[in-house]
Amino acid sequence: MPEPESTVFIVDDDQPVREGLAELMRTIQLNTEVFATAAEFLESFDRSRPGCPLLDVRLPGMSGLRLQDEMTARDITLPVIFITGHGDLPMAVEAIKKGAYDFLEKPIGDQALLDLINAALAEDQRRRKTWVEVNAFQERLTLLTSREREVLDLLKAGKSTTAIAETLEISQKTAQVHRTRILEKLQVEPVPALLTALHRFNMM
Amino acid sequence: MVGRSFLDLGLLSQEQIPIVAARLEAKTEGKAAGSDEYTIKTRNGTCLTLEVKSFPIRIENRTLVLGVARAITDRKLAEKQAEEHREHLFHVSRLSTLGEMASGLAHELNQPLSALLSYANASQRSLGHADRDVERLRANLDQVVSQARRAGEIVKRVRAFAQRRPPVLHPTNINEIVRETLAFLHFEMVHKEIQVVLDLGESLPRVLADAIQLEQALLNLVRNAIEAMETTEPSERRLTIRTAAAAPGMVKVTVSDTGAGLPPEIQGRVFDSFFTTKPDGLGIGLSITRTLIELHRGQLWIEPGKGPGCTFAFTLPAALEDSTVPRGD
Repeated sequence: MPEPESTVFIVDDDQPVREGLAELMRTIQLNTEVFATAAEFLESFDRSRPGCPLLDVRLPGMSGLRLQDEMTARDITLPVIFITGHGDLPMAVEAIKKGAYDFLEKPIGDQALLDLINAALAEDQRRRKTWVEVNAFQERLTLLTSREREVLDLLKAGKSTTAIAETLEISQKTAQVHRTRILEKLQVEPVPALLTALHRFNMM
Repeated sequence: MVGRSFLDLGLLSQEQIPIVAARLEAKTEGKAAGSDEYTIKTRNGTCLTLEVKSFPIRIENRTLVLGVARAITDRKLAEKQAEEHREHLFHVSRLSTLGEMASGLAHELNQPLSALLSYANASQRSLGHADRDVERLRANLDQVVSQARRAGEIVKRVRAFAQRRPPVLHPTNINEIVRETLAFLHFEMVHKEIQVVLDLGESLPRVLADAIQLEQALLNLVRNAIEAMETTEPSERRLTIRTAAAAPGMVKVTVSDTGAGLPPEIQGRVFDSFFTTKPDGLGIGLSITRTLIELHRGQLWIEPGKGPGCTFAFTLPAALEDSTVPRGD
């Protein structure tokens, strides 16, 4: 379940449409915030706040698709849900290709919408958790000495301790000490778990 | 035929005399009503069709028949036919415009329907809550009603535009026509990222116009302007509509775009029927628009040298204040 402070950011230029959506969200105790334009939403955006944007694909001024580009440029990784009208399928496809979470066609069935919102909020929580882990891991990586980094690179390449000792022209014992230090500093063991973590954080 | 008697006009043919006599007798006795059509031979030998309205009157115990005759000449008939053809063309053109705008209108209609659905769903869900807030429920249902009305207004606007009916002239507020026309195009403006600038004159005299025909004329101009800006950078797309009083007793409307503009060699031909610069254009839009404006005793032209883009201007005579006809509602 999403954490309670998650917010659905509703961006639609049509006031009754956005207020109606907000009212619907309130019936399942979701926090909402409404915006008439993409610019208003960007202006008030605070990356520490969890949630998901619900965007009309056609917005006056900056369209929903351009807002998505802008969010990507600013490294905002919230899972975006697009609302499209009849005949907007090509736009929806483009949005998905650019990494949108999903899209819904108007008029929207309430259960489908609420299910999707919940899934997107859960996805946001997952991304945030990963992000925290990545940051902590990167922090720990800075603790490695340059020699330990060399050893880590060889571990990533799948080399055994014996092979690492040979490549770096050091004793096997020294190589083992480096390996133990690396696992200690990165707070992960054994080596396969380290490799899995590197994979997950896109550091391979 | 004011000031002329039947005898001045000519004579009924032999075979018509008994028919007319029978009708007149029926009228005298109050057994017949309505108007009749008789053809008479005039003194110079031509035929003249008269529409005769007659009814009995009583003067000092004598019953007489009072008749009023109106000549329906061939010229009148031809004019009437031409008018019908013209209105038919206007109507067909309106239908084709609606066809082209169908997708936008569907989007436009989807807005209130979406809002309505959200509020209705929210109401249903809150009914299931133990601590339901009646005031909130009432507010939501009010929204359901007002959004349903909004959808109804859109349908009404489309139906009025699609209807075929003879034009009715009313003193009309030109600014209302501008707003009604733009309401049709709201979706298109948003979709094409066109900024709309309205500079509508205050307390303008009203113009004597058929609202639908005037909307049609304006819609054609605005849609042309939208198309003209297709190659313009989205941030530069701007449609400006101005209404102002123009001396003496005229109202002037201008529609400006920030498109590529019209080359001078084309400007003289854009009002010709079947002249078009668009690959899929029919070339009747502007010609119809000019006819519509001229039927309202106005003029339509291209404002020279007001670049970038193109400015179409038209004038309409202000309605005389005593010609104020109360609206039908």
